[in-house]
Amino acid sequence: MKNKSNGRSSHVEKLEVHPYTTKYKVIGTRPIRHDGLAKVTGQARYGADINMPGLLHSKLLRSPHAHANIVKIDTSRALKIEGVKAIITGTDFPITKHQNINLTEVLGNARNQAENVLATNKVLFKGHAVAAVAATTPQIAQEAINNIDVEYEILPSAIDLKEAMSDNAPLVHENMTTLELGSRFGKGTDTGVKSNISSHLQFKGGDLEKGFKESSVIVEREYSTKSVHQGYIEPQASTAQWHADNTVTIWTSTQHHFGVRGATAAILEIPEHVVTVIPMEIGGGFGGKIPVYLDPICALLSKKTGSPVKAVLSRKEVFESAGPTSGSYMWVKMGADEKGYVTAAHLYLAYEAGAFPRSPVGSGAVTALTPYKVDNFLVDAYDVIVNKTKVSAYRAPGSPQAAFAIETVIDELAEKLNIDKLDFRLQNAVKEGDRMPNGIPLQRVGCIEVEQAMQSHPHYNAPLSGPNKGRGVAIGYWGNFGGQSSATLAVNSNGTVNVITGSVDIGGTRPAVAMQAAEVLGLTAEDMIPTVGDTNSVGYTDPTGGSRTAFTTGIAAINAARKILNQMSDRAALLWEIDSSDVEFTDGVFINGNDKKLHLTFKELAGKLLKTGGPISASASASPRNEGVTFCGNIVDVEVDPETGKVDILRYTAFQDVGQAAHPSYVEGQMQGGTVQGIGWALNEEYFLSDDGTMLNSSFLDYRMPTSLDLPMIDTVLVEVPHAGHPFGLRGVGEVPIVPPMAAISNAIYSATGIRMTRLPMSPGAILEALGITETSKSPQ
Amino acid sequence: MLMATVWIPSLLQQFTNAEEIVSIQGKTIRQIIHNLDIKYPGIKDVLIDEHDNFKDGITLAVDGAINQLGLVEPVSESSEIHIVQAISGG
Repeated sequence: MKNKSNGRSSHVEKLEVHPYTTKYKVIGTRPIRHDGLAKVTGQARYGADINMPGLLHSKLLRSPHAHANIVKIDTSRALKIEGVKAIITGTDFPITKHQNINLTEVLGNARNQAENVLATNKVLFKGHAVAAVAATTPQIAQEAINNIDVEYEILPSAIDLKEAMSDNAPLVHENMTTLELGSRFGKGTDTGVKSNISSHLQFKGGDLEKGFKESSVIVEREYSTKSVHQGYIEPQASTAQWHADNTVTIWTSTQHHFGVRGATAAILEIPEHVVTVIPMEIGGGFGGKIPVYLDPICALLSKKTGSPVKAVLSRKEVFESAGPTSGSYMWVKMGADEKGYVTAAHLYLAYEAGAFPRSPVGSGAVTALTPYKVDNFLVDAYDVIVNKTKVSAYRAPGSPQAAFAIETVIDELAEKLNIDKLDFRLQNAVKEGDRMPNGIPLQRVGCIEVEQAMQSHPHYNAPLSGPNKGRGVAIGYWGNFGGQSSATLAVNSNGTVNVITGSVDIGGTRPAVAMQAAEVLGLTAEDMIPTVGDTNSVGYTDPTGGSRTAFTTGIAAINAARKILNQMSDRAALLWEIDSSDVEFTDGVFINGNDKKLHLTFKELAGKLLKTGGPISASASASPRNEGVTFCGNIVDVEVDPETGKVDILRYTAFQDVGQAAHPSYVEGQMQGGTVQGIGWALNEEYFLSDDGTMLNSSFLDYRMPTSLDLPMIDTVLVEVPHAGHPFGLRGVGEVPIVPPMAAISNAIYSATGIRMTRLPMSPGAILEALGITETSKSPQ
Repeated sequence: MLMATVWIPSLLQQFTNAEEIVSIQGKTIRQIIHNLDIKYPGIKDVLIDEHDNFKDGITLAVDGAINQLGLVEPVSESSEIHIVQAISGG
């Protein structure tokens, strides 16, 4: 069948729903998502859709310099413009008057967050906001921005990663010293060395020298990757309304409205309980909408003006100031013996953190070698400050970069030993009991099952004929995050159940969580009414991210559902005048254990609640200790145009151990979405920066992300190795799909061209350069 | 007497005379860290701040599971404890 949009042949004759069976009544089925109709008809309300009487609009003035002291900010001309109601700078945040920036305390440090939102004394990246205006129209706000005068003392900047690590690099933070073991991992030892390297983390095991001596083949390579953006289609948007009783309500696009509450309260030095945050529907986040950028600004401007204030980032502002993920430099040396067992691995990872510490290099250091049983290893990881926007999480943060390096070296080792690429991976694959680089033993995991599924899939051995075509494979790992979640369930008279959780729904978690509660209650997914509660309506819940939501918020909903069942059983016992212990519950029906002819369905009993003691509801929280981990794999076929360097994806199959798919369609969607993001990261996406730190491609026209017209269908294979830490065996699924694509595509390009790509992106220009083709030559040199 | 085993990251082995795995007595993480510091002075300051909380971004995993109870996390005689980073996600 020809794909009409590009004429390429598809390998399938018709679009098929992946054949999938489930042992559960609700879990594993594919009901229509509860929020689907609102979203496809445009009725869903997003952050920028908020409008109200008296609404003011905010714009931000941003630094034109990557590194400069702020000498003076003069707002007098701007304040004279009719329609301008207030202007604030970083020093207007109360926290900046009482706390200093603390570079050793990064996680959740509100003072550091305030500095990232609005600079006080110094700008640290081009685009760093220095002032915010509230005006009656966006146009007047923009005019006011243009009339704020800022005097800067320009400082030398550290833009390039490796240059920033050098001894004579300009220091982004003059008094920052390198911490061994790092601020992310404990204060450790302060080396006393002033540097742009904020921290050094190390994992070591066995005897590296001995391991390399036992190697019959050794591969050593350097790699580099550029910053890429999460590319969420909806920019950040926030509206705040300060009330007469000194409370504030914020409507915002965020992955973590409880985090917005906490950060705003801390930055404005007000109690948390006076801040109500209402999460709007969200148009993507992928980790980039966990930090705050606008909410404290809108809240303070609303307080000053007495009017609601709204701010929406432009796409340019999103790129330039709302954290991308880290660019990186990596060096890898690995050895294997003649039988194909990996004997030694030595890794050096340096990741850009941006203007403040905390890149995901630590995650990269842990995840890089986890898929492989390696006894002798040394991993050194460095967190590096540069004069660029502070990086933010992006789907399995830190792991894709490291996997790009490791998985291509693994491929090369297998080739040198003339061992099948998957056979090599399988014989080195980890299983239960094997230890990760940080020493923690793995529980039951599906690494081997994923690789076996890949090897037995028709794609792996399908013919691939013709010049310039190649096939590549790669494996990915991500550790997932458990966190804390809350859920409240309430039974309606008609037997439906309200399910209120604290988790913003980014990728179908609303139905996935509701389905888990439905499974417990013997109801259908359609009987559940899931809602995302604001910060006043439900208990504290950690961000939607970290592949935790269907898992942990699901457990919270299950716990609440079990409480509901207990209460319903008590009510049935009351009606039947028996002991609660004599009430049985099966398939949504309560049965009188003493007289089994007597039974009530859940819905029948629900209809009697208000007249037999009152409504039934229950709340529960979850903070699971065992969040489980997940492995995935890719097989990809590519064709490389030797004249243009363009790489076309011909066929792509993504495999993943999902534990137990709550809603297979949304699990498949996560796999496909993460894969596509990885493809963009591999082939196109990068921050083009000028020497002064200006992003030159800050629009979707020039920052080229793959669309549905660029790619074939991403086929998915769900491998299910149930996770013992979840009642239904779920594993987090949202992040790991982005981990292997860059390596898989690089390996496929090698198969097609004989060229090992070690830099991302593998854009047409990079391919041609690797092939030795210049503008003046017509063939590889 | 059975004691919990604590795995020491390589950059902290300067406190433990290069020992990677040490045996420490204690029924909670607080007791483990206290006794660890008695045996290897200075290591507590790496892990705990002045408010008796884990330092930024650090936590301990007990028997393979990330600690959720902080210093009051119970520890058994045969527990295996790892000092790890707190991974989040995106």
